[in-house]
Amino acid sequence: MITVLLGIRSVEVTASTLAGALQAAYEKEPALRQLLMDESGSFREHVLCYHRTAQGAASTRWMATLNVPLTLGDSILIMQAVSGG
Amino acid sequence: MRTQLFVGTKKGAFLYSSDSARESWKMEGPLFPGWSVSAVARDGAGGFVAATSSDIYGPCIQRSPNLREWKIAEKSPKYSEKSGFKFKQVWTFAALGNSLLAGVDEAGVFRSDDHGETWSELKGLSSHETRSAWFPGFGGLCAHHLITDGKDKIWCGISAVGVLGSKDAGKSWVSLNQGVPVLIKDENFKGIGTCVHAIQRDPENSQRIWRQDHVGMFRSEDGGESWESIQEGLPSTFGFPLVVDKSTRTLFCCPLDSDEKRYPPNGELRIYRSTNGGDSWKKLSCGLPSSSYHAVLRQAMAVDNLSGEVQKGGVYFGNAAGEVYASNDLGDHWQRLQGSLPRVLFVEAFVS
Repeated sequence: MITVLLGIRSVEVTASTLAGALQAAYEKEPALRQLLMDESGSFREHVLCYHRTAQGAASTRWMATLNVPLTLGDSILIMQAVSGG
Repeated sequence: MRTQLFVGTKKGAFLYSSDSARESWKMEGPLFPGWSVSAVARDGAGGFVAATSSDIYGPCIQRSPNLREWKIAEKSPKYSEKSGFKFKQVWTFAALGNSLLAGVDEAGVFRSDDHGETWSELKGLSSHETRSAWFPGFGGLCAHHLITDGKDKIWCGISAVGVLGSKDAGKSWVSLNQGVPVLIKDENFKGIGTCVHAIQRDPENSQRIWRQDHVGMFRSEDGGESWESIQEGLPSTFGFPLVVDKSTRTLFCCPLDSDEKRYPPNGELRIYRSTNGGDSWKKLSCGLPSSSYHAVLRQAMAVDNLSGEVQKGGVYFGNAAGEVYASNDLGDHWQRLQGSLPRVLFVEAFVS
């Protein structure tokens, strides 16, 4: 649904932490921030964010902080939590 | 001359185009596929603004030069975190001088001085002395109608609070509900707790305002200070849309059976028209279906104001079943337009 509005599927950024990468993505695509974040600066209730590395993917829901170090080639995956019939 | 009908639905928007005869229509869309599209308006600079929202990604403002190509505005309306209010949806846009206003859920009004790109809150409304007693209606706590005198007077319809008016471009507000029965009584504040569904002003006299309320149709001759019932000819007191053709000052509404049933009386989908300022209403049925049990939602009716010497104005509406109807003769005859759309949230007509 984000692609419908922004016309892009991905943003390439350079950053050393997950928080830094998200910030850099928001600076490149300012509308991304309002689509993903609520008034308090947290991810919206049904937005899922995964940090993907060579070892696997970890949801930010279970992270105490977004100041997680990144390795070259890591990616951030945004998904919408939609289930049900 | 081209007439365009912009239809916002729960899952995208659809654009119908016709010439000045408005007999045959071409449909395009969906625009914003999958997104709920809740309002559209001219932006005051030759372009357009629209409002989209999603249960997942929230609400945002869109801008377009032509109703077809859209770009998301970088900054949508936003309440401060301290306020505790959440911006959930735009219900309506209105022009105030060179500015644009947006009425939103949770109830408040935002103003843009750059044709919709950035927005600031009219804090006088959301910090009104009665704000703590505002109670949401079935459709949410929403500022759903804005009318203005084009300069500094604003009237805002909020469910289920009532009409609030400002004479200083939105700095200060007073409640304007005298004469309308209160649905939700508050212990501390009088003048709120009414459930306005729609308001429109006389195009030639901003002191005359019409109001479809939860409990009936009303008219004010004094800018909302007092209201009188104008029910003659209407089959029920309940309904949502109310529009006025600017060129002839003709009113149109769509009564529903009751707040419990919310479908056309006896399943007969009918539009009611008043040519005498609401003194009496006439049922319009030519081309409209019976056995129709779907509501016409609050913003889902529009006029094109094209009445003139050789033609009559167009009237348009869509219903919750996704059917769109059009009349090119002020409601005397209706045709159903192509398509079976998602739930129609609003209809707006543009002439160029």
